[in-house]
Amino acid sequence: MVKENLKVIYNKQIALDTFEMKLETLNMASFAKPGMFINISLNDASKLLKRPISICQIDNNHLIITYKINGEGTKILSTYQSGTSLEAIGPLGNGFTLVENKKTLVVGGGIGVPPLLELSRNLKKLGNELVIILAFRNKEAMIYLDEFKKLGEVAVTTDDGSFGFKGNALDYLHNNNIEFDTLYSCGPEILLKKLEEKYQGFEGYLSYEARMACGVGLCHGCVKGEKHYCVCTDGPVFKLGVIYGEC
Amino acid sequence: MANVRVKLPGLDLKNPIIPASGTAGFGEELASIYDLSVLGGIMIKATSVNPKRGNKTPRVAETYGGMLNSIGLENPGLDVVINEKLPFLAKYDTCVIANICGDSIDEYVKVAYEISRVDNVAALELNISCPNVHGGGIPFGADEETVYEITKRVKEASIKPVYVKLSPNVTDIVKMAKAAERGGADGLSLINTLLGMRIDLKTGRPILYNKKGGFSGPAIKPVAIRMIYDVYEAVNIPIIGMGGIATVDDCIEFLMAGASALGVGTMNLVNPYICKELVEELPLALAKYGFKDINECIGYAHRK
Repeated sequence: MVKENLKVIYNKQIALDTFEMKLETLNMASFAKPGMFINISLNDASKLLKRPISICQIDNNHLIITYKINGEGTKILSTYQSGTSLEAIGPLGNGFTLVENKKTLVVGGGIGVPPLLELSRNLKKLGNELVIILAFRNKEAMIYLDEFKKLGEVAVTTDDGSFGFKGNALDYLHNNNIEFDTLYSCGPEILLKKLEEKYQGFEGYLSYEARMACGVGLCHGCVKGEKHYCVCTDGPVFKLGVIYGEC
Repeated sequence: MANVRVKLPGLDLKNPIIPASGTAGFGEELASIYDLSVLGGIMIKATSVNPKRGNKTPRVAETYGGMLNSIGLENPGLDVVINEKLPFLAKYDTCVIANICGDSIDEYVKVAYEISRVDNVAALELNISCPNVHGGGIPFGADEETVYEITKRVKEASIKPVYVKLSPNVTDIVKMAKAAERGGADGLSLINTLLGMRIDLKTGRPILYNKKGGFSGPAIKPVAIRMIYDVYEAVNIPIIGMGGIATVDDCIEFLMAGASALGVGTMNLVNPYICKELVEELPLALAKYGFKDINECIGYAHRK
């Protein structure tokens, strides 16, 4: 982990309430792995806490983060123009464990999709075959479909049926029997919980989200699971079964 | 560059900067970020006899210029703290202040007796003010006689100096400070968090699972300064000041109000490097305001 002032290269809307921000880093990007996150300041003393945002893409000394406006903080973040300097610490947390030469199922839900892009690129490089399910509320919220199509077989679901399969990722999995060796997922907690239940005993890596303060294990504000794991330092990626399973 | 070494009972601090209890765990996480030996001291997470799971989540929420927490004194219990956590801190050249908590006076006494006998514990901080534990927090810190009684009993059990951490959630903190002094406290630390609450407008319910939580961060600084100022006038024991310290100028302000050492809490959660940065900046800042020695700055605002 390092603390740096990151320079905004661009900050653009890519879908409904969803923004992509490219940041120039000094060294931070060189330590980043898929599934890790950064804690980014809002340059606003009234919004004290840094915002934990997952890393969507790693490109040499640049990081791309993709976030959805979900409150006052992310709304402020969306207003920053290129050239703005934002203090951040990172990369934080544990990334995804990467398998090789396997059949992998990648399931993304909503704003849980971004970290799966860098993951999927890495999985493909490692000789894995990818089946990717991307679940969104509606067509307007859809992101990165073209990018994922380059990496594997993609199915899109929307709650309202405005694009692809009508329903959510779990409905899709219920209707389609997909064989795989390893599961990767990031999305709403209910999705991750159901996946842990459905695929008990499978190898899988799930990235959880939590209301977080420090991001570095100091405050224990973001604990989850029976053993009160810190999502920030023990996660955000947990092995399937750790949060809602038996082990 | 001004001298920053300061001496308090049991605490020969190379500088006054101390991460406050509950924002530095047992030092393990911070130690992976910087060398803990740069710190004057470290206040470990409140320790009870048995492990505590803490409250359910959400247990943090942001507020204007601060935050709420209702962690609920989560800790691994006395045995683990003594056998695993404190030995880790022995590797560092910094004063360890063991924060202790309990649901009864007997529990405080037991923790104090045992933890004070650990070699690398320099002093105890008696947490009588955490607002989060039902039956354990507010009642101890909000009643003069109880403050006196618990301080006296813990002092009898401890072989190390005892600092009583006062709650701001009282009508008159000076009365509590005097009661602790009467009970034999070697020093005071103040202030703990203010009791607060936020409601989520989307759900129409409190954000924190525990509904209420401790309000901390830069927003509470004026309350802390006022209380330290008042207590400094009323007691003859040193004060470890805390409550919203975010910058080196804040450090100077707390010293001027009457603090002899400085607890930095919430800002560790915003910038985990903050204590190290304050240690580096303080000698120059003291010099900038005309002080050759930190001891000249302590209580400076009270001069006639």
